[in-house]
Amino acid sequence: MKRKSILTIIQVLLVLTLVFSISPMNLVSASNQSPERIISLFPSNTEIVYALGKGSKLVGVSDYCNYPIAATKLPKLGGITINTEKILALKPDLILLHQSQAKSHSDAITLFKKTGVNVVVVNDATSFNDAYNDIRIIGRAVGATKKAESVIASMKAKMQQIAEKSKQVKVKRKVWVEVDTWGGLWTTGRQTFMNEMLSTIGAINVAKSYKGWVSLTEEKVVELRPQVVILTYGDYDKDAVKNVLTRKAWQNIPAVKEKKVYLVTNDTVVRPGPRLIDGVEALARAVYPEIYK
Amino acid sequence: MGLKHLREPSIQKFTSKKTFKISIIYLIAIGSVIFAGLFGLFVSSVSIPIQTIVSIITHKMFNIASLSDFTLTEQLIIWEIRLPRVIIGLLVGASLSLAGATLQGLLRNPLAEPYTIGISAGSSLGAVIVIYFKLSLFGLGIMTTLPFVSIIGALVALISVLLITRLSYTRLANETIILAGIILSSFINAIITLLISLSSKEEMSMILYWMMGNLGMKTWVHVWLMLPFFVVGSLILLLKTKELNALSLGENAASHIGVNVKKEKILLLLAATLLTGSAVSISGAIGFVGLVIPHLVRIVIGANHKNLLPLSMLIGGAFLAFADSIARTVIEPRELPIGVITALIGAPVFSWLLVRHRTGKRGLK
Amino acid sequence: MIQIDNLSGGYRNQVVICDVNLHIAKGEFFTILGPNGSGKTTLLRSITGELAPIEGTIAINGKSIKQMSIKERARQIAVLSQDYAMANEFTVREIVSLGRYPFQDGLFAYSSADDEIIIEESMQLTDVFKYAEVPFSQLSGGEKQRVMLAKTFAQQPQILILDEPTNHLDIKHTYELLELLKEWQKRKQVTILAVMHDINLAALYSDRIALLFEGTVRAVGDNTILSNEDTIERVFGVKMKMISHPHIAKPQMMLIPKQNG
Repeated sequence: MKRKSILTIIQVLLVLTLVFSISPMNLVSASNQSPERIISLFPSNTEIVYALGKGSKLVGVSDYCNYPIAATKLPKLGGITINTEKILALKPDLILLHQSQAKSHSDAITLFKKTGVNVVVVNDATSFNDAYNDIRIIGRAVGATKKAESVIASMKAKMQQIAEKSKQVKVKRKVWVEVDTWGGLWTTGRQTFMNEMLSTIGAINVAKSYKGWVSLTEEKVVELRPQVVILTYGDYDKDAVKNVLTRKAWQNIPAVKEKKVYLVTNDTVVRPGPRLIDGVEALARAVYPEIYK
Repeated sequence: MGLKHLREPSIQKFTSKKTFKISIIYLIAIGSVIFAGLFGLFVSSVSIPIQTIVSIITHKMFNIASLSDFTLTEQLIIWEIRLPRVIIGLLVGASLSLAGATLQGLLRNPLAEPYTIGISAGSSLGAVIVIYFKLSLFGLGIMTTLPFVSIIGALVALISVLLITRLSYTRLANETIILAGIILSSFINAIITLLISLSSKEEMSMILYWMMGNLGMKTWVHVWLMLPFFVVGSLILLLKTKELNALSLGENAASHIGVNVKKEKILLLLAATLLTGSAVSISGAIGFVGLVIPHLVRIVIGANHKNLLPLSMLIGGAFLAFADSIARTVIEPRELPIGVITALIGAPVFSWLLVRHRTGKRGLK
Repeated sequence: MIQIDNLSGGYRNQVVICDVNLHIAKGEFFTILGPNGSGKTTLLRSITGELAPIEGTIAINGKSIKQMSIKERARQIAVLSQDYAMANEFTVREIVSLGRYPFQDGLFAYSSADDEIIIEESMQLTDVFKYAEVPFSQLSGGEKQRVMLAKTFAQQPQILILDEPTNHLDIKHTYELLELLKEWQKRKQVTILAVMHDINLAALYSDRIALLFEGTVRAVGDNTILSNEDTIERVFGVKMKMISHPHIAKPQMMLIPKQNG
């Protein structure tokens, strides 16, 4: 079983490295007709399909697709491994995948293509521009190009509003984002949505000198003395805030002294989709409540 | 007999030479514990002058020297983060190594370790259950609930192994214990894999990172949580070295010289379980220490448990504390899983020792 | 010394020895002879207390062994067997020291000065003192057997049980071992109870012999019981010819090959 768990670890790491390192690529096959039976095997893609008003065309999703609630009612077709048979049995005309799945499921993709299904692999996104691009690609694939542009425009407008308000920030606050506490304190460095969001709202990511997702030692975080702490794992640990506030070694950190420890919903700050705006707004209200009401 | 004349001087020569060698080895072992402890305190991702560290610790312990000279942040980093972490490292390493040495002697199998007989798997299952079901007993929160459930998991695993062994009519034969342990481990690990595959991505990463082993985010609470198990478990084992020696000769031989084999065996297994369970529950499943450190010590000192157990304990503790220092400094301030370090440093060093030992022995003959 | 009355013993649902009655006197070299499967080992294991009797009693100096603790038994009975499993990484001294285990009571009891003297004497007697600090694995088969014997000597038993003690030994080591045992038996007035395969060795060294066959004792007595060729044939299943030892008054049994020359 040790070997099995190592395999799983390798799979997860593979997914992570793919998410964070491989240069974008695109496997869009051209199709003019708008598809009637869509399968989406990645949570952000599913969210985008719904945002584009094509949710009713979805016939199956991945195990991890948990938003919107309608998506959870659809057939589940797998997580780290996917159920190829079940997918084909649903007779899809479009399958949406993520860049991280392109390699691990390359055989399945070949098979899908052989059966004549249109397969679209969406690039990995680590910035808002990437996310807009993903929305555009999915828009084209599901036959909702115009809707895609309007979704993007409204996201951009909201970001613009926030950026405007951020000019009222006089002293930038230092923020520590905590994604996980197992195996070191995991945070989001450069080239993550969280980092971009923090700079948009006029805050400083204390971990911005590191790239991607990293785990830091506890004492390093204590030394960084953040003024606000943002936790993204509140859904999994009900006592998340209480635990941070009671960490003995953190008692001299401004954020803990002033009880500025807040939760944001993980999915709204990591998934490249329309909900990123919810994430930015939640973050803005947490860090600068006096400015973003 | 002619031998009589030789007797007196030769005894003295032998014993004094041997006692001298053993004392030196004990000094080295204690020295490495001190070195690993200090290294862990002095070298880390945030640099603080050694003098400051020493003053902070002496003040906290004995209430001497004024603390106003140092920032509160420095005090918190040293006293609330580094010191408990170093102590946990020493305790976990000592526990795993001591349990490994005991199991190897008791089961007369050089490959026996806490992982072979299912204890560690049971402990892991307890932890995974807490993470998966988000258990929080008595409002303690997941992080504090986990060790308790994990130790219970270890004990349940031991009882299951003994029951399986018992039911197969073999008066707790070693091979059956090991076989039952392997069967139980694979069963438990199947359950763990099942839970992992049913869990969300976030829970999955928690479980996987927990299973890789880590000494981060450890506080005094964890030290106090682990200490009673450590004290009870290691006291039992250190007082049972004669019985372990006897059992290493074989169970019949042990019973012929008056060892109550069944009773002692269960007691020794229980003590090893307390040590392993508490260590795994605090730090996750860290490999290598329980298997290799006892072998290393045996190469140097021989199989007599009177010395093997205390030395394995000391060297195991020092090794893990040192490995943890490396894990948190080598790409500081980022952390590496400690299991990576224990295997990366450990495997080559001990391979070298093993080769040297074998070739050295041949040279003697 | 050892009083065995109406003893029946064996394992789950299988009686191996039946109604055994033996009285072994102090200082006697008593040998149990019998073919494979006759119940010798079961009898020994009953006497050491490893196997609870199904019926009957075994008493040592009038005290039933059931009433003795394992340690108490080990203070009176020592066993020399052939399994010395994984003792390899121990030194000779460490192994011999284990013989003192039944005399060390309490949690912190380690070897006392008296113990050390006994341990060294035992090593001297068996001529392994020169290997005291040598790892067991580096010794030859005969030397290993002598180390195990030293361990039983260190136990200072009143009764020494030998389970086929010369099985793996060559003729020289066999001779030396039996001579040593005999000398020690005489000097310390130890009772020796041996299980043997070799009829002739038994005839040479035993004071008394019991013939065990299919779980019951067929004959008990001094070595003259071996002179009865019919009994021997019934018990061992082969025809043998008795001759007298040319130097001492002991019977020796000779096999007769079917083809000679």
